[in-house]
Amino acid sequence: MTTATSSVIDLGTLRDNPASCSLHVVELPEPLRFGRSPAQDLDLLRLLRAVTSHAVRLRWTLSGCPSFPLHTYAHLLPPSLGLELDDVAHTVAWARDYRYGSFYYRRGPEMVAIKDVRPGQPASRMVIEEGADRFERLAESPDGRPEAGDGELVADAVEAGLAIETDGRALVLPFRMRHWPVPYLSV
Amino acid sequence: MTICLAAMPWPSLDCPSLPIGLLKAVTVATGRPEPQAYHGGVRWAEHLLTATDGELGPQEYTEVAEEGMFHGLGDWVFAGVLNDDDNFGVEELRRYADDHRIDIDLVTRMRPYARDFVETAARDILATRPTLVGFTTTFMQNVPSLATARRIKELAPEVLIVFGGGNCDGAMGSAIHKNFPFVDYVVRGEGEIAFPALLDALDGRINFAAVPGLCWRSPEGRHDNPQGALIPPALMPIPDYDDWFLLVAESPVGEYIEPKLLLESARGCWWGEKHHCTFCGLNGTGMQFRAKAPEAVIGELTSLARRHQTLDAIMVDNIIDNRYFREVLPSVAALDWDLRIHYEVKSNLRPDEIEVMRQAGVTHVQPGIESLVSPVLKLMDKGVTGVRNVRTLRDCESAGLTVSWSWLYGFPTESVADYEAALRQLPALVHLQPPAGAARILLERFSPYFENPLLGFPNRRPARIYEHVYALPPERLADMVYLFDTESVGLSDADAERLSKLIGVWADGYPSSSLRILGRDDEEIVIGDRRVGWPERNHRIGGAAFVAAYRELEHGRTVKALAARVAEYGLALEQLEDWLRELADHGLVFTEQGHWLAVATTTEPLKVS
Ligand code: SF4
Repeated sequence: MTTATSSVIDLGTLRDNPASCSLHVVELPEPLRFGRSPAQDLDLLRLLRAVTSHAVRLRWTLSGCPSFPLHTYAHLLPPSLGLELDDVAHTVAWARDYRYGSFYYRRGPEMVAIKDVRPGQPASRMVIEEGADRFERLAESPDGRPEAGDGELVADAVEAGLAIETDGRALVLPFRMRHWPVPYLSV
Repeated sequence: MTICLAAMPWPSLDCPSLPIGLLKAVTVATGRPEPQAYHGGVRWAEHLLTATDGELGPQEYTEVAEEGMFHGLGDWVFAGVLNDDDNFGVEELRRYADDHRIDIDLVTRMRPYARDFVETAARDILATRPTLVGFTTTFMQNVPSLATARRIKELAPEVLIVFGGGNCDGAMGSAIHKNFPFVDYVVRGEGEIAFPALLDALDGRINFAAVPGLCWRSPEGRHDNPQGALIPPALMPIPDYDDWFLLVAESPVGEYIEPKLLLESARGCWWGEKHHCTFCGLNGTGMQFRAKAPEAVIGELTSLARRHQTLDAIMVDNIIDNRYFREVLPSVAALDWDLRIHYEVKSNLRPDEIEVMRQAGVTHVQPGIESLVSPVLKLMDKGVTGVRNVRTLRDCESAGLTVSWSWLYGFPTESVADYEAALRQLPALVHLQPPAGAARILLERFSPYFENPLLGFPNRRPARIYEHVYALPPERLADMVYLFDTESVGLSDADAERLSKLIGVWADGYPSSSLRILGRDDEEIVIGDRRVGWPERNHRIGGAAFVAAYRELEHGRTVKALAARVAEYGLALEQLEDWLRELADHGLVFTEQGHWLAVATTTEPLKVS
């Protein structure tokens, strides 16, 4: 039986099934190593986006620094087990800017609704109608590889600040809102 | 005939007006042109923004709309205009505020803008060239509606003024008609049949005497037609919200709000039909429960969500139909849309019902929890116990639902001794969602306490709040108002102060508290205790017998019932009693009237402040 307040989880298990850890406290024993290549950083941010979307109370250690600007990922769960070596100021800024539900999307009838209330910029709400299904598929794709014919969609999303891209792979930034917090209107 | 329907302040800014939406739909269904609509709430917030250069606006509007009702503050803002005296009610409100220790700074700052707004509203409404203006009025809408109606009548005496809505139900509608001669007609009761019938009467097709619930005048004098039968659910139309969504898309107020759908799946209350909660006047003359067919509810929700690209919905029902747990919510869940829905429910929810709500996106419930004290709940005729209510709080917490509730006191024959057990245990519940506050009950029209003075409130008079709102003597107010003052009974103010303080501590501690089951199997249960005010620790319940007993406690059991259910383990009654006392010492159970309930949750929701 599990009696620890937080249980250790390996990266592969977390990646394969973040939903199984929803609302539970789990701990990654190995740091997430950023800064080796933009493509790898994109993958790690994709993991953090899934973790945030599934409301996993993940305790993790940061090593290095993501090769993207902070505002593109400050809405994703920050490290809470400290950091290795690197930039303390960056981690502090991430924790300061993080608030659950500051940049998310909701799935609706042939549309996707996006809310962005990240600090340091005007709040915005938008609705994607045309191509909502393709946007969603891109958002939930395990590797961010756009489908054939999605080039324009990716370009538009990047331009609108809804995605980042590197090496032909994209990461849709807002996460899908799967767990409403208490109180429910606070996000 | 051209019609303009008006909803004056103070409805919630982020929702369209349901009555306007319904009346537009029924009017069009009778083959008449679509009525114009005047959304006075949004317009008043815009007016404040412009007139004060942003100092007052939607946020301040919402504060008054949400907090002002029981002090008549929203009405007071417009009372100077209605009574044509800028000083009207000012002294009265000041004295009232002193006595009740409430802050009136905000409404005092708003009031100087009311006259201009009413002028603009009257002229904007007249600009739609109406032959008839229909005001829908509920809660604090009376005075702003009356003030605007009066001004319209001054500017254009030929325009007909019609009032309807919750504030016009029963005797209240007749009294409005009697007290304010510029109101030509009042529709009392539901409008779906009565309003088109009034239009028919105005067209000369039927006699005014045939319009259900209508208050009207003839050369012979004033007439109050009897209210009609309540309409069946199949006749409740789908509201037409098109113009409101267009308005907020263009209004500066739009920036401040997230639009929500206001939907109704049922009217009346199935519980109240059998056991009318003694303090509740909410259903007025429409207690009979009438729920729409499940397919209709699903159709309405999905079509309006689609049409307005809105995934937030407030269901206005006073109580959910139990059928919907099986026949509506699973289908809504199957849509896989990220909805956010509010529903009022009965507090005896089962875990499977809570789970289906969660899956369907019902993220906010108001379960009619008014107390955790069983003898008082009995006085209310709520049909639940304190332990049952705590169980609902626990299970909603585990499911991550936001729960809204308020603690009511001041019931005839309640005593401070009734409260002792529950109050002593409140610190153990700090991980569950606290009430918004504690309030002495008010005597509401239509409630059993109002209808039957023998139940404990023999003397009543229109509530003092109306002194700073209406320039009418008590005998002309008595039939017009909803709230009444009585002698205080039950808890004294000093006793109530203790309750309020405990609730304050609870509210402060909740965001950083949890009491959660971290792991369980047949031999051990581990409960992580991170409650404010309790030592941080992990509690271990060991051995198959006690694990089984703990599982039983999750349902709430008496010691005897518990012993019977775990009899196979051979635990003696005394052993169980000792164990329960130990659990109580650690705040792991809530106990009242011989029932014991485990209070740890299975998960902890994300809390965002
Ligand atoms: S308090 Fe709620 S359950 Fe009781 S009668 Fe009123 S609406 Fe019905």
